[in-house]
Amino acid sequence: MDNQKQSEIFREWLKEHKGILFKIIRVYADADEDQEDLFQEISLQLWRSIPGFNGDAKASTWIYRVALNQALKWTKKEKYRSEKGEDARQEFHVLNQVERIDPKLEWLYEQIAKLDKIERSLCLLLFDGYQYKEIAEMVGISESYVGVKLNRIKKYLTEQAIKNFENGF
Amino acid sequence: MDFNDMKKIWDEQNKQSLYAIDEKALHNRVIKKKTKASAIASKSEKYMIGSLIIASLIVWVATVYTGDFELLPLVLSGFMLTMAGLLYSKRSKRLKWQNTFDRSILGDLEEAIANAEYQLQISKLSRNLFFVVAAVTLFDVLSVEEWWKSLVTLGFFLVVYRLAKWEYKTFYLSQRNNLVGMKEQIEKFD
Repeated sequence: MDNQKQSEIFREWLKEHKGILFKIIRVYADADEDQEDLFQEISLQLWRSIPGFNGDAKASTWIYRVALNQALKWTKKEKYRSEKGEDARQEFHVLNQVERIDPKLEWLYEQIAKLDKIERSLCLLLFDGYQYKEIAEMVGISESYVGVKLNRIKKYLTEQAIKNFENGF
Repeated sequence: MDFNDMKKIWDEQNKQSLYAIDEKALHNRVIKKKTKASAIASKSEKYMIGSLIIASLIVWVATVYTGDFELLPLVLSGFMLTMAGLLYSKRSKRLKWQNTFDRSILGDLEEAIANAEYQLQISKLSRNLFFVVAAVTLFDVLSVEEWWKSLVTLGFFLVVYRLAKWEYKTFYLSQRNNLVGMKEQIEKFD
């Protein structure tokens, strides 16, 4: 695949599916600097993955798979960095979060971020309409385990929502 | 609020953009990287030129002091002075071309990459110089009678060579690769 073709595909993917990347970075990275760092790593990995995309799966599925995989790797690396006391933060924030007006969505992201890193992947995929079988293939765990995990997640989120509503949300 | 309500809230976000790229901040970051790449190259040049001149002078002073005019150390000293001159000329050229890039984000990034590439050349050159110095020194030191002396000298040069390779890969090559990766990304977003 030549460079120009690869660039075209990358641009097209970003235009159509950048929402996927933004959701993932929002769930896996908290601070602005971290979100930016993760965004850079995911988009670079996505660019590199293009020659390996043969069109068997939908582009969005492929992007999710690559991005989640990179986010998990990044989380591991970040944990190692923070354990060693290293600060990977940058001085200038290139990626600015647009003011989000819906507090319910903000709350939802906060709840998802509280889950462990695999559960976060499962939750994102569920919210974006993937079937258990597809989720199992993408995350690399059994379909029945996906079912068990997602039922727990749904229960947890619903309980949290009830609690928040009782407190006047 | 049940799970279906959460799904509706989730789907709503697809209609809006969550992030925007701040071009000014991006440019500031590129300028910072450019300055860093230039400073690293400048420091390397100064250290190399300085150490070559000092090493050359030491050989001369030692020769004059002992009155033992041997050909090999004097040739080596001349070689080191010539290399210092060559490096000075390379530095002057670099300082001229580094101001020829335009002041856009990509122009500044290209300048940073050019400086990082230059640093790779300097680092390679210093390793080649090291080979010459090591070879001459070993030629002078190697002897069967004092085999331990030869062994220690050889060991020293091997350790320094490994360290130089590590420095090349860890700092300079990764700096260049990061900058090239950043440029690729920016070009894709354009």
